[in-house]
Amino acid sequence: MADPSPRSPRRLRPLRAGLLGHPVVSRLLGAVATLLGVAVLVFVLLRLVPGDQITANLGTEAAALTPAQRQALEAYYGLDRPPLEQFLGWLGSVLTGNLGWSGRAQVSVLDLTLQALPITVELAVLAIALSVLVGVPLGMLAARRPNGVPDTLGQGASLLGLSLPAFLIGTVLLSVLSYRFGFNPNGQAFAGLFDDPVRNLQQMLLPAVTLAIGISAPIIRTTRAAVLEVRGLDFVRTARAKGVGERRLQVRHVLRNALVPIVTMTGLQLGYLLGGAIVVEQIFSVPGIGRQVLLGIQQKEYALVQSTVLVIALCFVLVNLLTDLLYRLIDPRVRLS
Amino acid sequence: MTTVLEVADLSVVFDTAGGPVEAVREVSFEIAAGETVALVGESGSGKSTTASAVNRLLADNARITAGRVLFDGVDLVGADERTLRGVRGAGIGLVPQDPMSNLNPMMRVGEQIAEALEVHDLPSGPGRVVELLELVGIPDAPARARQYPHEFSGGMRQRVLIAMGLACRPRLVIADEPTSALDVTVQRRVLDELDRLTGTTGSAVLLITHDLALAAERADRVLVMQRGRVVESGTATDILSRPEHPYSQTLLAAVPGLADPLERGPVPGGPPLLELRGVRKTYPLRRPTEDGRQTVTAVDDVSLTIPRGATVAVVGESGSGKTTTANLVLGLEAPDAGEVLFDGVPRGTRRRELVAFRRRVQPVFQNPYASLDPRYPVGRSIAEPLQVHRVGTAAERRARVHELLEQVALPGAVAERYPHELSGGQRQRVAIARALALRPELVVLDEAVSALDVVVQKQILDLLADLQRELGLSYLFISHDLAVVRLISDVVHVMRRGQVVESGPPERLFAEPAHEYTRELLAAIPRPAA
Repeated sequence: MADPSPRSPRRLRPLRAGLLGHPVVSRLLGAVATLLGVAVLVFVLLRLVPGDQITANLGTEAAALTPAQRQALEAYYGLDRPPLEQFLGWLGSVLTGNLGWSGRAQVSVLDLTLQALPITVELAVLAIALSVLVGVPLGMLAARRPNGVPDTLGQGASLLGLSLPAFLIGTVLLSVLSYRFGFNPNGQAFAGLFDDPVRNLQQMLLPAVTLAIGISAPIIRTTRAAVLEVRGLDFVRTARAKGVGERRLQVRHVLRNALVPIVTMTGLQLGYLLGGAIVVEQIFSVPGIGRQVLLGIQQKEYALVQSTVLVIALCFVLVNLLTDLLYRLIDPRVRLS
Repeated sequence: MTTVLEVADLSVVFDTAGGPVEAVREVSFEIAAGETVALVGESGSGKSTTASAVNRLLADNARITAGRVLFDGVDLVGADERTLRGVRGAGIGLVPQDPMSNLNPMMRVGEQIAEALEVHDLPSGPGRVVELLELVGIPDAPARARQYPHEFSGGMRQRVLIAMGLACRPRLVIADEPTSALDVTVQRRVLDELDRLTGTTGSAVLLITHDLALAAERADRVLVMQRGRVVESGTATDILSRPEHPYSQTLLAAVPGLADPLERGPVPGGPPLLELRGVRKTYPLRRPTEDGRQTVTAVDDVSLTIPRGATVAVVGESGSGKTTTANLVLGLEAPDAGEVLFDGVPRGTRRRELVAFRRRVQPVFQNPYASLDPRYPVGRSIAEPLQVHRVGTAAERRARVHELLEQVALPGAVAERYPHELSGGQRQRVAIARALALRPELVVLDEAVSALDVVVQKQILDLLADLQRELGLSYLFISHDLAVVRLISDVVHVMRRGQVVESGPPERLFAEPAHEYTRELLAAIPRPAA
């Protein structure tokens, strides 16, 4: 067999008929299909729930409406139009940048989202950063000696982190710190990151820690499993045979090869967090996107919920694409294909 | 001459779920400076474990229970990690077995070589790395150093591993089956390279191999290992010409390059069973080649006939098109051009015709570990073709399974076993039994004995020859190993880059090879000058 000659500078790939088969194109098509599916699902689900914006606004008094009044209100909210027309109308305006109007807040959904989304992103990034900083080293430590003391402790801790619901951790953290130590930054009005960075970070600390406890558990486990697997591979032994020391071995050979599953898990968690940690945002009064959805559902503001969920789905898709890009950075073999 | 390595009464135990297993028992040997010593044995003989005990890189569940490993006068058995780190790479280099798995896929090749020097505080600049790559015969070294392992072929990766193992000019090199994963002609070149380099650095070599002929060709002294013990040791010439221990004799008799061809009758006459006429198969490439080609022609105008009751062999290296040829014969792929005639008529392409065809033509594949479903007891695997083709009742199928197991010389109780409970040779017997279940006329053996140890290989070849005599089978025998092919075939076709470059009976190919490539393949068979 002839050895392949070294590759000359890469040429541009000629455009071929199979444009749809191109990985980037097919990815984008998949993303669009996902978003469309989310749009349909949230639209249908919202309407399956009994009640509408009229009953949500008026409560029991809605029963006292005359048919004419009710008709007028239905026309006002656009509920009298056939569902398909409602759906297409909403989708059409979303595509032109109009996410709808929140009657309750008397603000456009776009403005609401522009306020809430950065807060959720900040919270998500902080929580992820914390859990990676804690989870990856702990996972590596646990993998050093499977079933050793650190491993057993780590496994126990991560099981605990997985099992404890966020509302419990959040409430306990909040009550202990505020009652015993008088530390309750979340009791004050919420401060934006750029308005008052110090207070903002204080307010973000507890919700981020609460979320990180739950997220670091799968990160510890994924890291442990990936490191254990890589450690048994031939090239690690070969590196040892070169005289490579333990620390260098762990970082340059083991961790680098274990990164792909860790990045996958982290990306997945980040995606979920961007969907708004509804419970945690509620407990700590963080005006994020999760609270926005919650309020929208309570008020049956269809456009608000639909558009916000779509934005969340878009974030999820974007994080996934980002994860794929990261693979390419990490693994030279992915770069080629 | 000074002694570089002295291993004395070394014993190694593996702690397994089933209790401790003694893998190496009281092994002793010495290696002098510049000397090459080969440890020879089958899988499980303890040869690789012995080597791993020397640079103290045993598996986690292995313990050295007794003995000493003196390297340059220092006992490595009691040495601390720091001492060992200093010895590994600098004092004892390792050239591992599988070039595909022994390089870090995420690290540039140059970095990996530089690392071998760096950790011992030796100059490791790009200049030195390029020099090392050039030393092991890698062209265009400066560009190659910046590439990743997946951009290298197997032979090139093995050269990189050699460069890494020899980078610090160690006093001892452990070469653990350094070429078994490579094509035969590449094997020879890589081994020559290793010989040359250890010659210039004056390194002693501990060569681990299952191939006695290779050991005798390359080593000064040979130690034969069986079940953890050294059963015989001596100079290469002595062991080859006067093997004393029965196990050495068995090993020697099984070496395909030295063994006598199996007895064969004349090729029966009559119309051929299967015929390929000018068959061609091309595949689209994912990325065009440098010269802009969009397809690769795997099989290019190949014609061959398989007479009834005969063994026709196709020999070639990776990429020669031999497996595609097998797939075309099996009807797993359809040719782009040319004809496949079976029993004198063109083979149909409709589903029903192919199903009927497959009853008469069955495959046995290379990897006995992967070709059996791990969740099926082997009896069920053997009976599966019968089920698929709706042959017989359940009771008849069970009886047939036992008959088949008997034919491949396995006890009937094996039917209840799972593949992981069987040895590699036993699994391959099961795969053969499965292929015979439908009483086919032609069996396509695609590298069917390549993954087996030489002794087991010989047993399977004997079995195949017996079955052919008993059942009047025809074989298409696909292999990369001309020495094995010589033992069993009536006609050999040598393939290279999709084309048959030479055909003929094996005796003629061996005596007077006409094509240069055939000569190269022949030269690659290890044959010690005993």
